[in-house]
Amino acid sequence: MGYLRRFATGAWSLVVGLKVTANHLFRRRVTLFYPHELPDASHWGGPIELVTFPATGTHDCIACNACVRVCPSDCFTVEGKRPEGAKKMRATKFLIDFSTCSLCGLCIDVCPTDTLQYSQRYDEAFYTRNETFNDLLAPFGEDPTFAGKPT
Amino acid sequence: MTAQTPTLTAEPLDTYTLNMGPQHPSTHGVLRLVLTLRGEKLVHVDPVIGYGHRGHEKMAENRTYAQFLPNTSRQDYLSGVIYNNAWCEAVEKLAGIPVPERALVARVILAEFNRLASHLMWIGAYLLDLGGWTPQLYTWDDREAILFLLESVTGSRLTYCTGRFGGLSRDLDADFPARARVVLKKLKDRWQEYEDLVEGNVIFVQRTRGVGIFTKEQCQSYGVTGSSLRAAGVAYDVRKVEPYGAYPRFQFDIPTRPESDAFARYWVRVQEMKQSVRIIEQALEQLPDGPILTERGLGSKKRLKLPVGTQYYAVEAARGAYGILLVSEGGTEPYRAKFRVPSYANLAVMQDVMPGYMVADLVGILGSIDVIIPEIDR
Amino acid sequence: MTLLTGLRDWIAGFLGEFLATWLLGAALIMTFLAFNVLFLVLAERKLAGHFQRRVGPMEVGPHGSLQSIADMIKLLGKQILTPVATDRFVYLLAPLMVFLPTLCVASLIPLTGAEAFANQPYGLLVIIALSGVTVLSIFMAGWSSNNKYAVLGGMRSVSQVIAYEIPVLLAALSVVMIAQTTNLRQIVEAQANTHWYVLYQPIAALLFFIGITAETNRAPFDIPEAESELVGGFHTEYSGMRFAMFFFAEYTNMLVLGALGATLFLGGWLGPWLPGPVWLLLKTYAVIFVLIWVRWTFPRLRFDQLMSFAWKLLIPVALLNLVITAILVHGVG
Repeated sequence: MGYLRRFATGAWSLVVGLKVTANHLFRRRVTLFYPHELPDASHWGGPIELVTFPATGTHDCIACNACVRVCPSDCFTVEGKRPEGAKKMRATKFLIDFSTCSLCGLCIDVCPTDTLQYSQRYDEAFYTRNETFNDLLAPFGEDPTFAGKPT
Repeated sequence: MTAQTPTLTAEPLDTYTLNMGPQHPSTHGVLRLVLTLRGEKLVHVDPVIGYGHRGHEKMAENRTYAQFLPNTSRQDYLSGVIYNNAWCEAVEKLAGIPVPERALVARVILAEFNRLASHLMWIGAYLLDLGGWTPQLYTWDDREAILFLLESVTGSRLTYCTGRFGGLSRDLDADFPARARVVLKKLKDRWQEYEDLVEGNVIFVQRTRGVGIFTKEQCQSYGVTGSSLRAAGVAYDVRKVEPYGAYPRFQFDIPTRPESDAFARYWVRVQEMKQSVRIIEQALEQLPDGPILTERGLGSKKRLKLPVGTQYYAVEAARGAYGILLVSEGGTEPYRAKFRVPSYANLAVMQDVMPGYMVADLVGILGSIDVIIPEIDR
Repeated sequence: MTLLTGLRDWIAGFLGEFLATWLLGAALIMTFLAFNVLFLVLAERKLAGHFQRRVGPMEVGPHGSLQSIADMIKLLGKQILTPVATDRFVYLLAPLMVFLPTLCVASLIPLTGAEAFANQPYGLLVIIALSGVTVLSIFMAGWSSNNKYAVLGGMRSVSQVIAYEIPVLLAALSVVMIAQTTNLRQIVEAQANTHWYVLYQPIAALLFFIGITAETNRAPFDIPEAESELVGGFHTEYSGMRFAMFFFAEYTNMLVLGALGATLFLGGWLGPWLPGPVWLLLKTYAVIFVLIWVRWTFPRLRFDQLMSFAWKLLIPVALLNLVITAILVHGVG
């Protein structure tokens, strides 16, 4: 008798399992059709970028190399020089090797002028290694601070 | 001329060797098992590890304390927050850095969410090992909600690096508790479904009951910790035994079960998930206001120098007790950092347990102890 | 129809009447089976997706409806590898042999009540005998691959199919007892006079269903190809079109055994309004739907559990069922 009862509960558990999957068959999908629908990346910490300050309309990198020193994987290449008549340095070259970046955010912590932040980009896949170098100054175009002056 | 009969091998001829892995669907990464089989029965199992060795311990000796932060969550990539917190807390303890109340509670919330995500992932992967496909997609659906929540705080989905010495680098949003409660409610609605689909299923019970039993003594001699130990009837949980962080102020139980088989381990993990939900609910209630970080850039800006000393710090990771032995000689870099990872000990006991079972059970047992290979190799 | 007859007459011009009919019939069945496999693979993936709150393939064609064809083209274009140290002749023969029996069986299922279709007096026996041959080619594949996983998969397959053919046969026999014939057409016609046999023989129908799940190597009995244990089982070493052959055979086997189940228990081609073959196909697909549903719900049994389930539970129950049927048929009615 005990054997029969065990058998019956076992068989019933299979029916219960089938019911669960059948329930799900008619529920709404949870898939996101990725290239057609984009995920909400508003909180995503993607590759590092330079902040555009609304007051000046540009970044505020003084090429202090604090990020270069703190970076655990040596992603940064930062060069800068002093515009004529200015007190502070200004970056002329700011490259990140994204293939070695681990998105730890230590550079954001140490930046004295708060000009580094996470971007919301997430589709950083490339065909060649050179493409993984992000030129952070590129979005800012020609720097007006150096404009008209011979280098 | 009569040829001499050559001596073939020392091993008996009725067994054969099967090399399972490192590229095998169910060895969870790059674990290699050299099996000696008689028919389908296991005679001997020899785990070969080290395929994913990256030298984390040596790397720690060559970086400042802050620079090692991104490495922590890459040891066990499924419970990165816990490992990240552990490193921060070990350094804080040795350096005597104060941590704001809000950060302490927030760390618990993130860690428990991460534990939930890890256990959910495990349920899916384990059922996949046993040949059931569908539960994986359901658990991953839930895990996705948790990951989305963690992403909104940490900015990452798998290898978190939000912990800083003296707090967290990002604060919880104002609406975080509300969103977290929605996720918890979704999870609680799912328990019944998992019970129907997995725990109550006669095939699952048949596959896991009485499989992969190891005794308390074996656990002790190998240093098995975590859910596997609790499933063997020992109520050992670092969160209770050596309370750390904000854990002493929360009410939770340690689920145990005496059988020590794969089913018990499954049951214990599910109960642990329920306890995690309980902890998070309390933590959300008690989450204080205030700063999340004592001082921004501590350890990274100023190159933190730790006092001379040795510090052992243990936390309860998703797979068991995770310990950090930190030796400082006063410099900006650790003299030595040794990581005691739970999966290593949990895998070692398998050599004793496996013989006598069948190949199908090997997968069932290996899955049930929930090993993360990169953590073993580190 | 006129097109087909024209084609047949044209072929008969060089090969004679008999060969032409034979060839054309075989070609028709093959074409149908090929399209059926494409459809079943797509249906399985779509259904699996929806069972898991996904959507399955979506990109190729409207709602992914052309995905199978794209996969077929991909498999055709793949390099065919033959591992070193295989038993070459057997290795090459196995994928060819694997769907011959299913092909033969497919031609034996009666599609309508019309005189032309499958009127073999021992049709059922021939089908059961032929479907047992599939296991031979699976074992050939496993053995000749020179791979331990494949051998294990082949071994498991042999013992599994042998064990599960018995309940299938016994379940079919209890239908034979009621219908008093092994002619499949007459079995269906007998159901026209009474009810579908699933009502008279629910236990036999269940046993038959479990049996065909195991015979088609599907979860929870997919032990010969358990991928978390044996990587790919018997077809580990097969690639490209040779692998596709095993795939083809597996899904064709599903269709054929599903059709056999529909014939024995669900009244075959019988049904109002629609023509007979359509009804048979609908019933077959209903059986296959349940097979898919089961596969995407349950974990896999262990090998020894599978065997004891067959020998200790299914076969005794099937025998008991047979005896009771015999008593009821001959004693009472």
